[in-house]
Amino acid sequence: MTEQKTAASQVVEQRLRETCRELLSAGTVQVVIGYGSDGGAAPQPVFVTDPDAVDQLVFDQQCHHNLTTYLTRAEVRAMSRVAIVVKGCDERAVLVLEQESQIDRDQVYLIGVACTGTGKPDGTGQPVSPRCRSCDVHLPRHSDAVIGEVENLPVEATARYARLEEFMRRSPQERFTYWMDEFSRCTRCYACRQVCPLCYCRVCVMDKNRPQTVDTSAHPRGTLAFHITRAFHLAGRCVDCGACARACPAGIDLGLLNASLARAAESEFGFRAGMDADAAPLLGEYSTRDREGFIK
Amino acid sequence: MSDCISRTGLRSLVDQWLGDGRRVVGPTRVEDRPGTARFAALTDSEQLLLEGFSHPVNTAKEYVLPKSEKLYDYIREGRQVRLSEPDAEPVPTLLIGCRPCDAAAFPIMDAVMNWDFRDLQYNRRRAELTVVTLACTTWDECCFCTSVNLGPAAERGSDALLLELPDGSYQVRVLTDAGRRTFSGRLQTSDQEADLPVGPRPAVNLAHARQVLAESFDSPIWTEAGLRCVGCGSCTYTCPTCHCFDIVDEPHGADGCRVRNWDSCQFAGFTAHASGHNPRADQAARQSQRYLHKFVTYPEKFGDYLCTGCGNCHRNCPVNLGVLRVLQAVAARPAGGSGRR
Repeated sequence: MTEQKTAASQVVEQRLRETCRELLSAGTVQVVIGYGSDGGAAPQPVFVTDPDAVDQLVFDQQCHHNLTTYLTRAEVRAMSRVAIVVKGCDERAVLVLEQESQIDRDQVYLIGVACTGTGKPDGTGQPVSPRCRSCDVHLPRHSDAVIGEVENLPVEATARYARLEEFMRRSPQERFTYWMDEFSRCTRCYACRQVCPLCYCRVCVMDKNRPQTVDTSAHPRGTLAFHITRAFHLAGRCVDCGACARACPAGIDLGLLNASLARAAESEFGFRAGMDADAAPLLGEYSTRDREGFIK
Repeated sequence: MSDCISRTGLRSLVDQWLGDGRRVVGPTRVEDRPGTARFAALTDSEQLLLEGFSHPVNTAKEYVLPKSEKLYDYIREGRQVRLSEPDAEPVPTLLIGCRPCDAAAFPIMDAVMNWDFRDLQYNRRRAELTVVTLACTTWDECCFCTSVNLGPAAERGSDALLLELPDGSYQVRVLTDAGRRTFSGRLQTSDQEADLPVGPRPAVNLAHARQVLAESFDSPIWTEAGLRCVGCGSCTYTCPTCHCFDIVDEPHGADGCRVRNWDSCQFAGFTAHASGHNPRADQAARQSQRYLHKFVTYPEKFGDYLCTGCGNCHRNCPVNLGVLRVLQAVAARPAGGSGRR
C-alpha cells in the first residue's frame, strides 16, 4: 500500500474524484487520464471512462508520471474530449504542446493538482526528488480546475540550475568521460523518449531507416548520437518534468543534459518553456531583439 | 552435512578468475539508489554485492547476447567484397550471485538459439559461461518465480547453487562439471544445512491464464494495456528471456559492418513492412504479441514459458505494467469467452 495518507491528501483525492465524476457524468469529457491505485505499492496511469469507476483515482507523492505524454497518442486523440490530471510541471508541457499546435486546448480539460514534490517516500515526508526542491510551479496556473493549495514561490535560476552549475565545474574532458560512461549502460530502449510529452514525432529520426540517419546500435557512437540529438531537439522545449531520468532503467541522469540547453535558453533569451501561455516557441520565432553573442 | 564456502572464499574465487584474465559478472551497487543492484563486469571482488536487493535492474543475458555486436566487416576490394569475421574468442565468464530466475533463462534461450539455426556467436559465449547462482532470501512485490514453476532456490540453468547459511557462509550445491571445476579445492564441510526459502506466494493461476490467453489474440485486455503502455523497450531489454534482435548494416563509405542489435516487439518499427504496412498497427496488438509469445506460442514450440518470473518488466516499467499484473488481469476473465475487442 502507498504511504499513510494525510487528511489533506484525502481531501484532495475526494475532490479529484468528485470533479472527475461530474465531468464524466455530464459528458463534458469522454475519458479522464489520471493516477490510479489497484492496491499495489505504487500508483499508475489509468484511463477512466465510467463515472462509477472514479474511486480508483488517487494523488500522492508517488504520482510522478507526466501523463501528458498520452495526449498526442492516436488512441487518445480519437477520444475527444479528454480530461487529464496535471501537476505544475506537467502543465508546462501542455502549454508547449499547445504552442506547437499539437493539441487543441478546447479538447483537453486540465485538472491541476497542487504538488509539493514527488519521489519515493523516504519516511521524512519531504520531496525526495532533488528537482522538486527547486520547483516554482507547485500549483498549476492554467488549469480548468485546480485541486489543493500550495504557493508558487519564485526560485532563483542559480538554485534551479545548481546541479548543472556543479557539474559544469568539471573540465570538458571529465564531463565527456562522465557521459560516455553513463551512456555505456544505455540499451536504446527509448523509455526516455516514450515518456517524454515533447518527443511526439510520429516517426522519430532514430527510427528513420531510408536511409538510416543515426546508428541504432547501443555502441558508444550510436548512444552518443541518440542522446545528443534528443537533447538538441528539446532545446527551449524541455519543461524539466524529470520523466526521462525516472524512466531510464539504466539510471542515467538525462535531465542534466537537458538542463544545459534549458539554461542556455533562459540566459540567452530569457525563455523558459511552458511558463508563459502567450509565448511563441523559442525556436519558432524570430525577433530582432534576439541576442547574437553566440555567433563568433 | 553440507559443502560450504565462506564469504572470503567466494571473494578469493572471484579474485582468482580476475587474476587469470577471465571475466566475472555479478550484481553491483548502484550509486544513490539503495536497495538497487546492477549486473556488471567486476574489476574487484569487493564490488560483488550479495545482499540488500531483490533483483538487479538489468539482465545478465547481455553477456551471451550483447545489446549490440558486430557480426562481420565487409570490405570492398575492386569489384569484390571481402567479409571479415571478428575472430576474438569469447572470454571465459563467471556469472556469480545471479538469481535462480536469471539462471533459468539460459536454457530457455538455448532452445531458441539452437532451433532451426545454431547461432554461432551466442553458442560460443554460452559455452564459456559458468553460472553460480545465489538462492534468494528476499523478494519484492514484482517477483513471481513461484507462479511460473520456479522458485527462490531453483537449480535450473545453474552450474552451482549457493544457499546462505546462518553463520553467513554459503552452502554450495554443485550441479554440473563446470560447477565442480569452479569450486574444486575450495569447499569445506559444514554441519549446517541451509533452510530452503519459500519465495513469493504464487500470485496467479497460470493454467487458467494461459487458457484465456490462448483465445485472447484480440481482446479488450490489450486495448487497456495498449493505452497505458508507452511503447518503450524497457520490459524487453531488462527481461532475461527476451531475445529478439535486429540486423543492420552500418556503412562507412564503401565499406562497413553488419551488426546485430537487441530489438523489441513493443516498438512500432519491429513489424513495419517496407511497403509501409504494419500488421501490428497499434500498441494493443504489440502487447497481445508479447504475452501470447511468452505464454502460448513459445511454450507450444519449446515446452517452456518464455518467462522466469524475475519481475524486471514490472520493476522497470515507467507505467507499472508487467507480466504479473497483466497475467492477473487475464486470469480474472473467464475462459471460453469470445474476448474480441
